[in-house]
Amino acid sequence: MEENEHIRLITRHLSRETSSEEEASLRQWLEGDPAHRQQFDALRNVWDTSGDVIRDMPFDTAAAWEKIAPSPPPPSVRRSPTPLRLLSPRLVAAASVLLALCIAAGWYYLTRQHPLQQVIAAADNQQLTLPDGSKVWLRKGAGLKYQDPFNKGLREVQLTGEAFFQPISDPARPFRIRTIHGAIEDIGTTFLVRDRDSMDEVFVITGKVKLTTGEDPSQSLVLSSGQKATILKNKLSPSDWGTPNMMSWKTGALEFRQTPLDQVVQDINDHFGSQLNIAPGLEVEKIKITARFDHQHLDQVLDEIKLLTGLHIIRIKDTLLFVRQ
Amino acid sequence: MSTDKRDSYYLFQQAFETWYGTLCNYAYSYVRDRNACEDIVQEVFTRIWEDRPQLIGTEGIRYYLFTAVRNNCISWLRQAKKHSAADPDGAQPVYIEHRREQTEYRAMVRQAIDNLPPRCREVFLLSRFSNMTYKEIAGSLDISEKTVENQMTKALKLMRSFLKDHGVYLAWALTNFLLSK
Repeated sequence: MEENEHIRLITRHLSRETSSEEEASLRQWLEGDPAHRQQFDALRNVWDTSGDVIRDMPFDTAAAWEKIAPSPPPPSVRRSPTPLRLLSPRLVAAASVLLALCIAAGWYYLTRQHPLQQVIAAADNQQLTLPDGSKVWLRKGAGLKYQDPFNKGLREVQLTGEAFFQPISDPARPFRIRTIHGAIEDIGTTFLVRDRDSMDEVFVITGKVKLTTGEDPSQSLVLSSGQKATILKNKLSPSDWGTPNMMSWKTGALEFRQTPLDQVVQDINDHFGSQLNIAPGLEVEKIKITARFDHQHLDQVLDEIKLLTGLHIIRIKDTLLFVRQ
Repeated sequence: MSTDKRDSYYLFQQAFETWYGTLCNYAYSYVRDRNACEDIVQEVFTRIWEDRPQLIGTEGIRYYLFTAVRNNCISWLRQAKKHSAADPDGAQPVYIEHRREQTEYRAMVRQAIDNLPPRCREVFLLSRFSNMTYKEIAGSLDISEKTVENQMTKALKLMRSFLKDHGVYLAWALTNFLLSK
């Protein structure tokens, strides 16, 4: 698309003039290149800000209304107490019940507009569908806050803990996840976010994701599928994918292929929340494991590993320790 | 007052409360005189109540309001020009003079708007104030729909270049972030 052509298209989009074909072609253009997305965001921001600054001169609407209000003003039921005195006590009682109902309904309606939803996966992993149809899988212990419906122009959620996201693609309304460490913006994709105490880890399964740190939003990083990055102390850094088991809490499956024991232990701990450890002096690098566990209990997994490695397990308080006999 | 009349009164008041501030700001983009702007907008509303009550409660009221306010602004400017021979060009006041912007970015966006060519700015402002369709804007300004589209595209393009040239291309991200906190 030529420079002018896409500005024309974006302007049409912002002016709500686009047909569905034009929307589709805009979406395609946006997904083609992260730079396109940036251009789009810049233009949309000019648009939004201009709408704001042009009407910021204050005028006293109430005073003006007093000046031009047509006369005679209509009789106001609320303002005159006289008719009520003529009514029977029963009618008054009925009216006050009705009034109370109206207030309740009004309150419900008002708060229903953009109530803050808070979901905490307390007992187990939990799947939920957001107001726009996007899907989220919360790992047990994770929490998500969002407005229902989403605020205009932006789909934003606040995450604590670990979750897998499958957002509906909508170039006009970015899907953004905030954590205490930064923001993660989806560019049409599925991805996993681990918000830990010290840092965030983001794994991109398909598509692209943009990361920004909490402190400095000009610092950003775009990740493509198969890439992983961490947000740590306001630093963004690409990192090794590490384990293939980061989704095990969602899939229920743990898979090891010639995986060193220390990584196996780490994945098992991550999956089961167990406190498994390796006795000092064991040559973990040399002990490699190939196995697949599907929805199995910790005991079954450990038995299998004992069998494969010839190691034993001893218990010290809450910790399980792999030892050589 | 009949029920119809009362409904109409409330709808009229509602339209007034919705549009008064916006229309005054719109008028100010032509007439740089606050009091004159308020008089113009109030008069347009009074006219609706007295002469065009059928517009009240319809979608058409917006189109009428913006078109009438603009026409009256232009009449006012013509009158003002006649009466002040000493000041032939009406000394273009600066839009930013009495406003302190919250952020550098907002200030730059305002300058970018002021910097647009007059016709382009007029089309863009009407669109941003009224949120009308290209077709309605074309009707209101008596130009073709194609011209509206060209001017809108041009406006955004020029504003973006202006901001880029002034080095605030990236500042918006920061602004956005701070405001959303």
